[in-house]
Amino acid sequence: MMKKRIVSLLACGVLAASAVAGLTACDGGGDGDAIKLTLWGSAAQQETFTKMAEEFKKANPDKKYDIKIGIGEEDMAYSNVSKDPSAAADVYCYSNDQLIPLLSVGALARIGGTNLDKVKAENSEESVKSGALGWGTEEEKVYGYPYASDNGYFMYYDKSVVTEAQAGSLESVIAACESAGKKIGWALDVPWYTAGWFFSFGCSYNVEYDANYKEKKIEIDFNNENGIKASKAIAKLTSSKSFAGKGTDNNTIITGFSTKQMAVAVSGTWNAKKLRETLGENYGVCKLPTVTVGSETKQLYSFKGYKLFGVNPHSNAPAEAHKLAQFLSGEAMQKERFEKHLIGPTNTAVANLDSIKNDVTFAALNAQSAFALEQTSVPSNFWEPLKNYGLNIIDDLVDEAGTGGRLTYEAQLTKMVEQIKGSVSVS
Amino acid sequence: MEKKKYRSKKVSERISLVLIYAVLIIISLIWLIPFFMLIILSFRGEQVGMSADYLFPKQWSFDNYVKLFTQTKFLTWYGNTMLVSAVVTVFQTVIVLMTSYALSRLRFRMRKPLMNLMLILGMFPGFLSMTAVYFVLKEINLTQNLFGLILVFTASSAMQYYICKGFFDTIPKSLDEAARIDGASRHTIFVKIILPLAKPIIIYTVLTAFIAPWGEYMFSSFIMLGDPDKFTVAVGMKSWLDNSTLASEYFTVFCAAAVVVSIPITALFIWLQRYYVEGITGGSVKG
Repeated sequence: MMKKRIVSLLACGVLAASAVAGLTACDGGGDGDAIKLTLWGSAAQQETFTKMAEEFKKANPDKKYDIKIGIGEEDMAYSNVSKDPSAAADVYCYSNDQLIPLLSVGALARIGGTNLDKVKAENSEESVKSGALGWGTEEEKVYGYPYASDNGYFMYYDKSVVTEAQAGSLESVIAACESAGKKIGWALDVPWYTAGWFFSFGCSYNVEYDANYKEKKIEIDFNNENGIKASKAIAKLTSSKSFAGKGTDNNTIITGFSTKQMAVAVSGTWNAKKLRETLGENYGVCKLPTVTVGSETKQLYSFKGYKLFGVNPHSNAPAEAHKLAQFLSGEAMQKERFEKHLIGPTNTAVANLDSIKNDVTFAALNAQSAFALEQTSVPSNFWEPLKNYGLNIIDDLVDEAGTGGRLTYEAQLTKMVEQIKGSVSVS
Repeated sequence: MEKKKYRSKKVSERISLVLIYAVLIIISLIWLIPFFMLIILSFRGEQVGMSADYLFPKQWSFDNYVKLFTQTKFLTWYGNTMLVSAVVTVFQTVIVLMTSYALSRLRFRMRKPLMNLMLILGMFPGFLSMTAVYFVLKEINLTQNLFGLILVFTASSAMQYYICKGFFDTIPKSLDEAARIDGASRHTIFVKIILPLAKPIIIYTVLTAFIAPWGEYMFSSFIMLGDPDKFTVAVGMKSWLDNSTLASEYFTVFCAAAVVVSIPITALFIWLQRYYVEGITGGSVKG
């Protein structure tokens, strides 16, 4: 009998729990007419997004919206969305290097019609192209509403250590820092920063995809003589006693400048506000310097990327989701984002505002963008082998001739290229 | 002569004691330094990022704690975590105690195979089934929902029966038999005889049941899918680290959050410490 009582007690408990769960699952369902949209954006901009969502509601008074804002970093869009695209946000931010992975899980809706015309008319061509496949051809497909152009890097320097003229070439930057006993922060163990050196000397890659966005063919020539020149250029910096070494991140840079130990750093606009405060009058920014290997002097290249709003094809209200993305990437919102978070615009009208044109940081970013490769269609296995190669140079394990037990540049580069190409034979 | 020998023995004993204590002090210092660092950093007033090369703040301040509770959603996350942990603790304790009682006292067919099965299943890390569990929860509309999380944590709790069952086995069966003769039912025996004798193991079960969901990250982040109103502290704090700007800006706030997170567990431990030690040894040695 007692057993029965326990069983019934348990049953009651389970029922009660599921009833509560059921209630919470349904809450908010009372507002039947409202159009429900979820929006994922960076944790640093949650308040701005909340405010922008309110402005969207105000701009569309004829309909009722229930907009929920969640957290999802642009560079983690794929890992967040691919968990379950059908449950992911209706509109989310992504950086354009995530385009192919996101397409491969069917998480991006194509933009067309008047929406596309408006995007093309208002934003720089490069930025729209960064979220598109088959640009300029008949099969052109655009998958994003661009809103930020600042996913790139350039050089910060302390004017009391490095003069404006010295900042133009790597050799004089190193000399100035060495004589002043200051460090140069350049994250060469992060492949995103290492790749630019290879582009400078003319190395390149090309990836072809099949219909399912799987890599069909990868071409990469980092192991030719140009790659060796790039390696020599990197070694020029890493062998200097001023090189800050491995593990240079935003924190080391900010700390380094505020403790006066670092005088030069390669980074993006995200550190601009802090460094400007720290350096005050000595705040210097410019494009990356040139580097001389043998008799050749080359401008250093970088990666550049854009950030876009993507619309989830699983959305229950696709038209409204497109409307929201269009609104959030529009002129007024880009201006607001620049003023609040110093996020560089893709909107041509905003980019031409005096406050941006006269901003030294954005001038440096723009100057560098002429020497930057767009970060789309990067081989999926690109990063890890390149990172290891960068570490090899930093740790002085490679050189040109393979002296003193070191490996040759050529051998290691060939190994790296094979690893990068490796993803094809696997799939 | 004898006296001298006695004295030298004392001296050597003393030396070895000093050495032992020195080693213990060094080990405990190494072990405690991270905690002290965390607490000290949480009072740092100046913003110099994560890799500053000094420990003691140049300005002591409570700003990080103020910021934590006013400018972030930390309080919501804290409440969520507290709710989940508290509910899970209640359910899990009840389930574990009942399972252990049944497995210790009742004799039924398949008892041994069942025990073995639960032990083996319990050896697989829970996150192996994460994706499957997620889709089950999605079917019953419990994703992005704290009750979904509670369900996940509670569902497998019966599998943690073994320490508790070991303890129950040490309670003499003659007590049960005597009570049966007096007409007590199984339920009465469980509530009136076994449970009062099993206080240490109840405390142990409560503590382990509370700690598991309190610090859990994987399931919580998977189920909550970017909805910051439903985050637990672990997921919420990780979201600061995912953003490169916030990671440096919120570093000291993060330390403050870590201190606040550790408070309930520390309090619970200090309060229940006496029983806790008794509980573990009681269950494992005798069982």
